[in-house]
Amino acid sequence: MSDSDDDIFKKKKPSKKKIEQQQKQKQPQQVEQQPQQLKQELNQPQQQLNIHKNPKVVIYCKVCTFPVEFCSYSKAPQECKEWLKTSFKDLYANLYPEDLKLEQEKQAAQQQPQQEQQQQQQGQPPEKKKKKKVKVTESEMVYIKVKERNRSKFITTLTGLEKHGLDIKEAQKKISKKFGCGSSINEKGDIELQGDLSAELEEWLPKEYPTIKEDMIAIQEK
Amino acid sequence: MFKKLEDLSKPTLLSKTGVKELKQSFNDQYPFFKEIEDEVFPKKANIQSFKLRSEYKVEIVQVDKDYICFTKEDLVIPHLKLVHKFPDLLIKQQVDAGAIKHILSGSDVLAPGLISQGGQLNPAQKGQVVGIYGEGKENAMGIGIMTANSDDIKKDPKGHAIQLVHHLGDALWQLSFK
Repeated sequence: MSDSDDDIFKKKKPSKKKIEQQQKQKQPQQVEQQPQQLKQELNQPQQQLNIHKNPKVVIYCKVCTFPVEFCSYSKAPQECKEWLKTSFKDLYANLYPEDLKLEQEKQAAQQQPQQEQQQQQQGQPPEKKKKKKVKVTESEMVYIKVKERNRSKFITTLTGLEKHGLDIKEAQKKISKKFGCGSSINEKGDIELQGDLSAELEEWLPKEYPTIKEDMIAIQEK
Repeated sequence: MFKKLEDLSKPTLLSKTGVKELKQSFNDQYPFFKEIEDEVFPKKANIQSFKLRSEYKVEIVQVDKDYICFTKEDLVIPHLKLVHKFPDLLIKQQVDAGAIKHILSGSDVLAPGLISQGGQLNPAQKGQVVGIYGEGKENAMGIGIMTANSDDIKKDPKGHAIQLVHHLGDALWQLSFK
């Protein structure tokens, strides 16, 4: 990688590649600027108002997609904290000063017990994931496919109902009466419905037939 | 308003007149927009729009794969990311710390949250688009439309004050992170 190669590259294809390169260059700079900005705001909030013509950089959490301040209102605040800790240490110190103190005290006082806790934490989460994945096997899956027929017309096909011991003709009649749509049975034995009913079916199926659970339904759009 | 966004149509290119009208309506609503116009709409940008199939007259506008704003009836409402970049675009209203949780789950702003300690009510007229800020937080967390004049709210602090249109964590927000 030499500088001369890059120059030739730019001259040949200036428009899109250039912009991408510039953006890549910008990103690390922005990350560096952020802590400085924060400090400035803390010291001089009034002067900041005049500089707002340039876009302000806000860091978003990768776990919950909120701005970093709002992480405590997300669904999994603990994961957000750990992510912040690894990627932006300065911000973490700013936002959670109490946590830092607590951790430092812990580390100083009880190094051994913490290691045990970490081992326990590492042991717990994989077990939960395994349980969820084991429950649903492929032979139980119900697939909902949405196909676009025109710009605004759709066909949804339901496959996999017979695996749950349901009579397809009865189910077809029930669905077409419930949603008021035309329906037919395919050559392969699938139910075809007029219109895009993916969202409604996802809610309605587990209520009507308790053997089908929400995890077993998969929506595929084409 | 954006609880579910499943019925999003395919993107279509906005025509030149469409872009002109958009800029015009931006200029009418937000006086600060003049200074940042070139940054929001670069000259050779690829401007696309999405339409919702079922609900009202809503159109979502995308510039170079960044969601910029959406239109609702006659109003143009910026996306929250745009407000984060240019905080002076909207009038700021601040609510107290107790209300943040409810607004993030999609409820409207009620008048007591603006009047009480920690809240801040800046002058705004009925029907204006405002940014909603939280006590002790630096960035906006929601965008709403005033349902009454600020003077009336001060006189009689009861009931709904701001109708929430777009907030952190709703479907439109999640779209921009896919």
